[in-house]
Amino acid sequence: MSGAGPALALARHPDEETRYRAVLRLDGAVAAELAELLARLSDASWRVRTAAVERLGQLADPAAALPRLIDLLDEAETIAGRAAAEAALASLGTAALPALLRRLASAPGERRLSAISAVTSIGSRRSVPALVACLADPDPALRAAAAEGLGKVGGPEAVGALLAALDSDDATLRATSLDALGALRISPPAARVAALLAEARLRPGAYRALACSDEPAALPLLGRGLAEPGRSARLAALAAIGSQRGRRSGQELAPLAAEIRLQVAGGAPIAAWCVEALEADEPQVAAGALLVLGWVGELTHAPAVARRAADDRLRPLVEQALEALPAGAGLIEVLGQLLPELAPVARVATYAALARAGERSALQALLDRAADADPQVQQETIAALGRLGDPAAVPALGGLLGDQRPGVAGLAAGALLAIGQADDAGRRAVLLECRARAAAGGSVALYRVLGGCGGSEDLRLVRLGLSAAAEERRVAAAGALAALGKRGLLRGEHLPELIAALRDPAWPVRVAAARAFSDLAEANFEARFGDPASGEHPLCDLAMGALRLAIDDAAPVVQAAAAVALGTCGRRAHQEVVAARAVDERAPALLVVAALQALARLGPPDAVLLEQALLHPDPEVKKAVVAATGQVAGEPGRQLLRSALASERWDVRLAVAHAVEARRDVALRDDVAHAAAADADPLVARALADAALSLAAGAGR
Amino acid sequence: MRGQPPRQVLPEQTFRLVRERFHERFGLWFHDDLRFLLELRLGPRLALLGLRDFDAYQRFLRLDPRGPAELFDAVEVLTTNETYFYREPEQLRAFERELLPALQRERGEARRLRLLSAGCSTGEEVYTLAALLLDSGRFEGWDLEVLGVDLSRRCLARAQAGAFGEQAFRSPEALALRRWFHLLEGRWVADEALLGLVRFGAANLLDGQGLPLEPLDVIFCRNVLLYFDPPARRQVLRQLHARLRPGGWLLLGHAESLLQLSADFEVVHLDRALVFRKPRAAAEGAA
Repeated sequence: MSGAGPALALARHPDEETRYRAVLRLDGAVAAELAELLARLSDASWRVRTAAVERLGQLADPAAALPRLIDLLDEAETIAGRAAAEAALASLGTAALPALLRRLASAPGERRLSAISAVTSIGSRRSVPALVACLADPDPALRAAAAEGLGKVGGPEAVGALLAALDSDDATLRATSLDALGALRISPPAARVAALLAEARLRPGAYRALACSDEPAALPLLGRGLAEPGRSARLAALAAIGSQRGRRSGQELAPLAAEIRLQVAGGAPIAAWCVEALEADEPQVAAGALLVLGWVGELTHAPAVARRAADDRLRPLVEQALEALPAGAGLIEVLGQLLPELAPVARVATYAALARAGERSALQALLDRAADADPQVQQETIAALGRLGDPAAVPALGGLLGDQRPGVAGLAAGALLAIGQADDAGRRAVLLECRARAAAGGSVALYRVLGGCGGSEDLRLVRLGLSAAAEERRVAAAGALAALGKRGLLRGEHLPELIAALRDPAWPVRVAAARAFSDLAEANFEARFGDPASGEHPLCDLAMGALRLAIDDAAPVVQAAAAVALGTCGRRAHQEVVAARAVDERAPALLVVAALQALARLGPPDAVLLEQALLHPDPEVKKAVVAATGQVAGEPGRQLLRSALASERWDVRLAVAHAVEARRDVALRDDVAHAAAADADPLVARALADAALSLAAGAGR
Repeated sequence: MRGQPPRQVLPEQTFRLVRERFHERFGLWFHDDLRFLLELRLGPRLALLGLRDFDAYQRFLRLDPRGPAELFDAVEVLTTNETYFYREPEQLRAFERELLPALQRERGEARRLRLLSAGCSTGEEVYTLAALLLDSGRFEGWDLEVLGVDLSRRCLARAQAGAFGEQAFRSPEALALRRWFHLLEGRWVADEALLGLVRFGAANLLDGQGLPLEPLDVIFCRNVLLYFDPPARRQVLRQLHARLRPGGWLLLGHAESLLQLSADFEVVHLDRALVFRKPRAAAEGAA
């Protein structure tokens, strides 16, 4: 390497920047320079050490460097030097693994600890057997380090060993194994966790482990966790409850809410602890605390909840917690006193809670803020008015439908839809407002509202919108027609404007028209206005003919929408033209996915075609193939699933797990069981294992 | 309760796929714990786009030609962090007392300073820096500019307007900055003197699109790296390093460091603040 000589000379220069640049130019293939790189791992400057790590990680043949690097794990004079050696070994990856594993098997005491640390920082599954063996080592520190390492490396073998280690006599190993399982997002069976809770030191880890549990039995344990005397255990339980909120519906969480209310009634100061936990940095702890405070429903804690609305991440949860509090004069008094000290966006959430409690002046305050100069306050207010569902907000929101500021009209439309869909009074108010405004001309937001809660008398206006000058209005009008159709208000009407929209110069309009036909066909199909099985069709021949032409559109996105619509229409005669798109190698994934979805609706797809489509590189296409195999019986279907199971993409393998479980085909049991054992992704491994278990249970019956 | 649409559930696997899209495009990384945030914030987008569920949404983001535009719209509702004037006062005091005099010496010949607030949100940091430049009295007649960049067009629009509520001045140190603002209809509006120094623009820190081409003297990138995963942080730091002039300064948030991320900057200890500097030329032969 030219210039290497000067680099070697400058690698010990007193100036840090000079050394740094010199080290970056050292060539590890030259013995003297390799020695200097290894020496620079102990440089006083972290920048120089980092540069040395980077250069060592680039060695084509690390064999010459490995013995010294491994020695430096223990022999470097400073902690920084030892850490740099470990980082260099990690950057060499599996090339360094055999030497490190030899060290782990034979070196004395401390040196094995540093080897284990380096092995786990490489993160290779090949190290798992050696780490598992260390779980039975006489040295307790090594056992704990091995468990921690297994939590970083992961894999079914690691998980099995960690679960087994929960039964160890070594308390430290039990605690470390629990933490390691938590790091892998693996929850031991709830009954096992319940036993572990008997040990105070294991409780934080045990509660955190329940965050990923889908067992109903986990919930009562978490409820009891809130009454723990130790703060870290309580916070862990709250974090797990926060996570469970994302895993389960409100109904599924109801037993937990009941358990907590029972404890509060018994005098447990759970609400006070939750208020304290609201300030936690960890979002899941604060989320859990908000959920619990909503369940407990004590008004004295309402101010603490409302203050957290200033946090953007937590505001939606705060709104839900405030909504869960008992409405009435008590809430109005408590929140009313709080208003002056709140940040503007937190004030909006509080006004909404006050309005819900029946305070009319709070509703007026919200109506005033619907046109606030601060965009964030305005947008939060519009959304809050929609959630409130009070028809009194309709005129103010209607006035925003034509607003030119980004997002405002769309938000106002969403709020009006929420009010219109809440009850008859709301719907009447919204339609009165929108029809009056429509007289002055339609807008994108107005069409959206009319589609969502308009009646058959609004059809004429919406159809007119398809010939509006502005492209986005034509798109919105097509969407509104679809929405009206989905609500059963179009019963096979001839829609020449929508057919013409399939030839609109703007592709977004053509897409919207094709999607509208798809939605209309779906609605009509469900209403049995057209039943392909009886030779009937949910759309007229003219519409289907236009869709048939649209599948040759210049824009693939239009072709895709037309393919989906033809699939929904259910006419088998379209199978061939749709199939051609599914196997077109040049077609974008969007079109191939749409064609595969359409084919699946037109009858059992051809296995050879699916096999060909499976070669498409896009994972969404592969998942569409996997979904379609549900209709391919026998060995051809199995082969397709086996091929997809070999995908590098986790989401494709996950789709296979779900497809296999739905298929209930015992012949695939061994395939998914083996795949579960080998899959590196915990979510996929779990789904595959579930599929294997479900097939085994089916075979046993 | 009235008016509540059914909650759209974001299953774990779909969350991971949606998260991948934001990571690919912007380098932003949403930790598992923030699934609820994506579910609640992005749920309303589904109705707006006429999509059935989050699975259709993730496919839309990935495959539809309108997906890239939707990513920009979606990021608006996911990154709306409020900020305030004179945030992290220790570091700003060190900037005033130590870095501004140094910059006056070093750039005295060119009489030109370019500051960047990377991830400026609603602009409070940009106006704070502009006010500190003016308050210092060191740069009379200089060509000064404080540029703020952010992903969010909504935040940038607010920053550009230069009008702030009381809450933006909640830091005690910020009260002194009010002399550069005037009260108009209950909001503090930046004076011409400040508005003349500041400029805002959309930029993606990950790929550098939108970042200024002219070399910068100081970059503030505070409490921004925490939204990125380590590889994306390294990429962002490479972009920032490339845009600093040799000897230029990088200021991160007080809880952020370059450890394991970049060795391209020197560490400089100021009084009660730690900052980073792009090294000047090295000794001959090593460059």
